[in-house]
Amino acid sequence: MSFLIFLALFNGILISLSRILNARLGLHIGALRSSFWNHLVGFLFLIPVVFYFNRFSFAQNLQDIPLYAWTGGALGVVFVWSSSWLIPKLGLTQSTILVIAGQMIFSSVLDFWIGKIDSLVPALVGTLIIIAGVLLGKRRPS
Amino acid sequence: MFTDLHVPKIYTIFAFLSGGLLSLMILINGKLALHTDSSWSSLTAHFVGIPFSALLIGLWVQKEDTSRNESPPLWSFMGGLFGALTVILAATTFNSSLGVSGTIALSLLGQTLLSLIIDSKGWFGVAQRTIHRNDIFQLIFILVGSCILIFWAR
Repeated sequence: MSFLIFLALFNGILISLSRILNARLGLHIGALRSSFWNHLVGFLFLIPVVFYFNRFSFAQNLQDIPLYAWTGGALGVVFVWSSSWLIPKLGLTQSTILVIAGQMIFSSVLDFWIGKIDSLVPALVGTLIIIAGVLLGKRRPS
Repeated sequence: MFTDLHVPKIYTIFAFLSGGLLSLMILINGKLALHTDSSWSSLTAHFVGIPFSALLIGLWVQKEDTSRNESPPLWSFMGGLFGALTVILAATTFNSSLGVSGTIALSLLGQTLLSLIIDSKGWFGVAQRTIHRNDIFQLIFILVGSCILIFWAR
């Protein structure tokens, strides 16, 4: 169990590492080009991984997949681009705070819309606490 | 060390909105992963991203902010590697006793802790920033709020 906990923590560590490395690359070649490299390197890395897990068997039933499912890659390009652009301006901590806040609130609103929220009161309380956390950033002590 | 008390609000708004973009991306890639598996979904997402970003590079005529004129260090190209790795790792812990909720909550914690360290020490040469007490309070609010959403709202 504690190994699983470590893996999940490490997951977060890898995310932050990935973002700061892309931000650094963006300082040299621009955030958009950094996003390009992020996707190219990630793709090359994943080829042997996918081969190991399913030997590209999914290439056979591509026609069954709804078209919008392919747009995730485009959204990812824009996200990594914005992330690499914003991190030097906001710092990694502020950027992380805001991205998490946006993520959690947006996904909760979406879940509410599709009826996946079972308990409305905790959802509202959690959302308000997150919003309060974001707004705390406006009152920077001198 | 420098403080960043006067960051234009537009950057804050963009960062917050990008979080929404991220959750939409996770939703869509997750749907693809249901039809296939998570490694294939990630491979596809990265694959689509290559020509799409190349297209945007061709279209985006405005010069981007670049403050470093020397060649980028080799390690700065490794962001894509760690990003792809997180997907594989997440798939492992999602299917364990930790579940999706536990994975996400701990991942958020790992992210925020490392970001504090990286910022305060100025690692990777992006910027060194003083961590204010306010930042810690913000993080506590975000993490507590997120945990309530993750564990009690669904």
